[in-house]
Amino acid sequence: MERREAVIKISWILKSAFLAPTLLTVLQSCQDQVLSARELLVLSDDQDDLIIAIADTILPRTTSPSASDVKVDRFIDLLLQDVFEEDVKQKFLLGLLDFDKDCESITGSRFLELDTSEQYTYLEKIDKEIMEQEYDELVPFYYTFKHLVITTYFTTEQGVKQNLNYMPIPGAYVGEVDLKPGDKIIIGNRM
Amino acid sequence: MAEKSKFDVLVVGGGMTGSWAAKEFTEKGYKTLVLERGREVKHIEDYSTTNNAPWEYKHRDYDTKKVKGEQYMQSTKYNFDASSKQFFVNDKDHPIESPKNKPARWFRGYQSGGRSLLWGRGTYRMSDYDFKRNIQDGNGSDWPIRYKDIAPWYDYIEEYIGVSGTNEDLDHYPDGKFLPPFDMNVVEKEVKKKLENHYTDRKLVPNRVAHLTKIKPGQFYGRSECQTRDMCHTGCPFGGYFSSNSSTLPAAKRTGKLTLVSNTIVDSVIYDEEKKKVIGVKVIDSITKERSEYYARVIFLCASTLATTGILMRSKTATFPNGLANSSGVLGHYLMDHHKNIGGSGVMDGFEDKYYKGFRPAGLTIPAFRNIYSREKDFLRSYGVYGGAKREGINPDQVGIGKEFKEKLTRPGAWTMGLYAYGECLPYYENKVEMDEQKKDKWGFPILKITADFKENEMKMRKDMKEQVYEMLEVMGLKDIKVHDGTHIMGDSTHLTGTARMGKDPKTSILNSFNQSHDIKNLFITDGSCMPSVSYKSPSLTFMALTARACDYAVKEMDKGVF
Repeated sequence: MERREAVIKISWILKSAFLAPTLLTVLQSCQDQVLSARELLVLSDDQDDLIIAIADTILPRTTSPSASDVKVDRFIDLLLQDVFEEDVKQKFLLGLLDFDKDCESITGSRFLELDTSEQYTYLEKIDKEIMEQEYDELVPFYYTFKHLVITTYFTTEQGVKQNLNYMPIPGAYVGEVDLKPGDKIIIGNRM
Repeated sequence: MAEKSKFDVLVVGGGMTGSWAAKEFTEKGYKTLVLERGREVKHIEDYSTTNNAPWEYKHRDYDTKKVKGEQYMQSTKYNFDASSKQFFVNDKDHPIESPKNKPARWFRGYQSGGRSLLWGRGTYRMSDYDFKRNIQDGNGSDWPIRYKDIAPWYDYIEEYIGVSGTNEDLDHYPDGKFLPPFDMNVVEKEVKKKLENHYTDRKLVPNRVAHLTKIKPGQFYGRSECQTRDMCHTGCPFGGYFSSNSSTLPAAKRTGKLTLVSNTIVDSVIYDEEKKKVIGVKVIDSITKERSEYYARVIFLCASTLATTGILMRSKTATFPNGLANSSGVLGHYLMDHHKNIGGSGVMDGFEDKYYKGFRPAGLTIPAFRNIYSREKDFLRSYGVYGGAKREGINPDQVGIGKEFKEKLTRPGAWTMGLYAYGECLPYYENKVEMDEQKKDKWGFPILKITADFKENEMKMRKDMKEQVYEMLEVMGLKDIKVHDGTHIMGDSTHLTGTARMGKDPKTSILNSFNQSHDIKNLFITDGSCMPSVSYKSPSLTFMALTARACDYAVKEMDKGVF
């Protein structure tokens, strides 16, 4: 089978594992971890770079910060250590690796070796393929990744305050207000 | 025993009902002790997370492996997260048991105010259709009261706690003393029209919730209007919704007659075999494990359904070898909850130029429409449907990347309307809680074992719930309708009730029509355990009303010198 025609390798992740609290048994990781120079918890510098590159392609810097400007990558690193069960963590890291391998087999280059516009073009295609489909319990790595990047971004202070209509104390509820072009989502402190 | 340990009234539990008992007795001048097994949570000053923004939590809304390890059961509740976890127990310290094929949940908040900090705030009156169901279909024992007995007390509670809602003139969904309702948004108004044009037996109305939507000067001492932050589960610094902490406990304190002792677990109730009365309780300090006793003329058990049942089971005497006040043998049986997790949603086209302001902490209700006036389905009893419409917020699960996509994410999305149903559970003798004498908690108390599930009647009802949710979403004119049928786990609705029920006959019930023990005249139980049936309505208002009514009765008996 030719590499280019190979089905994209997808690491599948249980949706409930990263979307909602579950009743999974706690598994403690016994692996020794090598601290990176960046003081990452789980990720290697290379993995972190790749996460930053994909995340910033999804949410680039505009008039508001990019995903990595608000340290979305560091929060994912924290989740990998403190929140995800060992099997989910491994699937996530495997998914990241597969993402890069797929990129290499399709474009001839690893994602980080592409320039910004090539990264955009490649990711746009992948994004469309994956996000157009409906899933049940299992979702592909990229779906998980994108979900994490976006939901994390919009729980950071700058992500919220520079993009949305932050209203921590709305006052009395008003059931009908006009929405004008350009009006943003109103968001408060409820998580 | 020192004089400081003697009280007129001793109330076990400082939650929803215990705090009402405290308020009623202290305001009548009685020296009242409230024993709370958890810590004291003071209004405002102990709401440690209430002003936090999401980014102030290290893990945002994710439960860490450590939290899921310690609060493995509590963390499954819908309003459990980093902002509310301090109001839930540590499951490792407070385990329960249930058979593998009959899982059960017991959500607990061990602190003054109890689960009044965590409740859904739905506030409904039971009607005579509810009070008569048991006697009509032969399940459970008849309620010893009817609507006329409790109606004045519903008035009394509603006016004190503040309930927003609308009067609808439905005899099975009695009207009350309401503050103005929360607004309905444009889509809700539209689907209401469609629903009510289609069905003659259904109405879509603002949910009745214990929120202060409008205050007149002098009303609701120390509380202010709801600011629609939707942060109720963190404790509300505005006192915008009713909690014991914001309302009844401060009222009891203001009388100067209240003694609140926290971190104190009741071991058992002390029964005097000669006087045939209860005279006090044995307690253990939850931190030092030091033991002591408190005495009073009257004892109110308001510890919550399962906790009260456990205390009675631990209080064995020569006269009551199967648990105090349990000559009937029904203690621990007829455990009920509501069954839920059936719902659906759909998309409403249009209305793109409309939005709303605020995070309304309440939705809408479709009061029950099945089996009200006659049995019309292959199941008994009924269910209520709840829901609401909103515009989609941040939606990460869609196609797109880059600059324009990032901008698109910040725009309010399509309108969606959701519905979900809550059903009544019949009282079954075999649905029960008991003590496992072999397994003890860290204070040496036997662990409670729950053996209960929803049965054939509830399963048939669930089928209809699902079909009707779908049908009504269609009638409302929604598209892309999705319905789901999730788990049904006893305790999941946090409405565990029924294990020390009221009744007319002392042979088949624990309590009389005033929540007084048939066996022991100065013992009262007014928490959820007293309910002979749960109806489909959230029970808090009913047991608050029963508490105030029982207090009124007890005060009259005390004034007469009966006890």
